[in-house]
Amino acid sequence: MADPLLERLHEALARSGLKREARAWALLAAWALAVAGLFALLLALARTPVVQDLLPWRGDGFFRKALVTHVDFSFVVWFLALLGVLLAFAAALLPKAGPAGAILGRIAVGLGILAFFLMALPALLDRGLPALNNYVPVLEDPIFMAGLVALFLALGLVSARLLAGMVRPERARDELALAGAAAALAILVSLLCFLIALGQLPKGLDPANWAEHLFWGGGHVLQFAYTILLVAIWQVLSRLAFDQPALSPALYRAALFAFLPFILAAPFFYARHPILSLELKNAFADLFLYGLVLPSLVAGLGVLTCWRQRTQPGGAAGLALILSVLLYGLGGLAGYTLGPNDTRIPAHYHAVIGGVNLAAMGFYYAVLLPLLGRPILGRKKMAVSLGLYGLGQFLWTAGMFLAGLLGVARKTAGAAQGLDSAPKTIAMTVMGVGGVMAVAGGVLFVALILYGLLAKRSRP
Amino acid sequence: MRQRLIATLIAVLSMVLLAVMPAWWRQPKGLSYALDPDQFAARTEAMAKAHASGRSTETGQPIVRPPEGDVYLMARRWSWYPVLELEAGRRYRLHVASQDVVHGFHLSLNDAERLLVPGRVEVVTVRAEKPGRFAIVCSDYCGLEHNGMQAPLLVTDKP
Ligand SMILES: [Cu+2]
Repeated sequence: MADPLLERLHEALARSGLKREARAWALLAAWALAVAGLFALLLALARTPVVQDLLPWRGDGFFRKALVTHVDFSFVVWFLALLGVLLAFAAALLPKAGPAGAILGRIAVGLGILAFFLMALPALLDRGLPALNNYVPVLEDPIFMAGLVALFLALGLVSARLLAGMVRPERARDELALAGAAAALAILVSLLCFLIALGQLPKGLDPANWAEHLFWGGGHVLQFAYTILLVAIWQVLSRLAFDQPALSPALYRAALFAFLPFILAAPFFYARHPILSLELKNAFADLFLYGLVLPSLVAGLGVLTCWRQRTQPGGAAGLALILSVLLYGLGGLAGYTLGPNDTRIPAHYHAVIGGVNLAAMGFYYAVLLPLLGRPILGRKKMAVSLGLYGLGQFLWTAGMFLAGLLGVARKTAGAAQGLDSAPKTIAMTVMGVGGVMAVAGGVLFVALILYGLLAKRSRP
Repeated sequence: MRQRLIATLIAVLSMVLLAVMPAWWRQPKGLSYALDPDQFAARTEAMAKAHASGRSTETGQPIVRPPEGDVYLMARRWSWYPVLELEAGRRYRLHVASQDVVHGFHLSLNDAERLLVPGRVEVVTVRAEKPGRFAIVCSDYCGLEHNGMQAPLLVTDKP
């Protein structure tokens, strides 16, 4: 552990007693991906002739429930648990991390684990009506809903803990502490938006409409927390890979600051526009267009500059970093061409999410495993997982984008897709190949990090 | 020094972007009025009966060719009723409303979008300069077949 950043984090985690908490979040995030993968496998099996008759679940109902669970674990639980790691790191880096904070953290981790099971079980028990709404798809089932509440509560607790410990800004010098505070703010504001929407939505609304409009606003704000996490990881990985942070301290602070006005503005939209209105929906869409682009562009350019000026190869961290910036940038560009209801929408968000995932992969390999588990010895395995996942996502996005241009409606499968021309078939094939590669890379990644986190530590 | 200047610019730019965001001043576009869904259905049905011109092989819905003026379109899970066939160069007032849950209306022809809350009718002005097929899609998640909730808007040449 020669790197001063890892050294400082290592020391802070030991001093604050928050190492176990950070490791618990890192494990929860890894298991979330494993469960998401398991449900993806079930989804594939449920659509495979012969095999589908052997499954204990039947029909379209199970398929949709499994899809909801897959999306929630790969998108909500995974990222929120990762934010749990960032928030634990940030809390540990504060000069005064007391025992009260550690107890609070333990409660939050407990809630997170509880949420994990409550959210995974209903689909397996074939319970609840699925709704594939945006951001947080749900099963209309008390167990599932309780799990969701527990998860949000857990993140709300650790967010509040961090902000309470940061009341005096001179305590927040460290890069990860600053990012943690910004992310904590985004999480709390997002929860506030959920609560406001919950209060404003009319009684007796259809469950599908209810879920869509409940999570629309806060869901948008939550993406700010994910993007802050991304910028923080880029900053750290760039330091580890190219011996130079992506952004100078002043620029880094400015990039983080640039998120804040938009996060803080979000709740006020509910006062300006009725809950069931196009104006409110579009207001939150504006938040992305106006609020996410500038800071992520600054950070992305910072990474590319560091990469151009590099004096060392960069290793797994460098590969993850560059793939992440490229895929995220591609997804961002695709976002400007969106049609209302075609496959360019998933092309956009899968690329953006893929970009964040690649950064997270590098974060596990270069930071989390050396600190919380044991580092992966074979560099090749890391590179293969990153390459497969990154290239697979590129192909998947390109195929999906192309299919969108050719007008394939999204989220429908099989005959309804209207695959009536050769270009469409080619686009969908490229997508399929990319998808398989990305899944293979993802499976290898999850296996590596679970092994790295769970294997007996060789280091004292 | 230069870094600090750029950092300050970024911070200021973010505040400017926040201030110019259309979210603050965007107002409901066009006209809308309250009407009981049953009454709206009756108006749509009357139009469909008077100007029926065939049946869409694609959606199974009747094709209706109303004259210039007020035309009606009903949203319900998970289809649009009926398929409208309009004439290029003419001006229509399209009244759209939902019969069951909240839907979204998006028309590719003029990129018009409205949220369809049951009990309210949204009015969209439609005028196509050239004949063609345009897409009407549901733009607000409304249940499992939401993505399949699509219909064509047909525009024909003047006879
Ligand atoms: Cu709909």
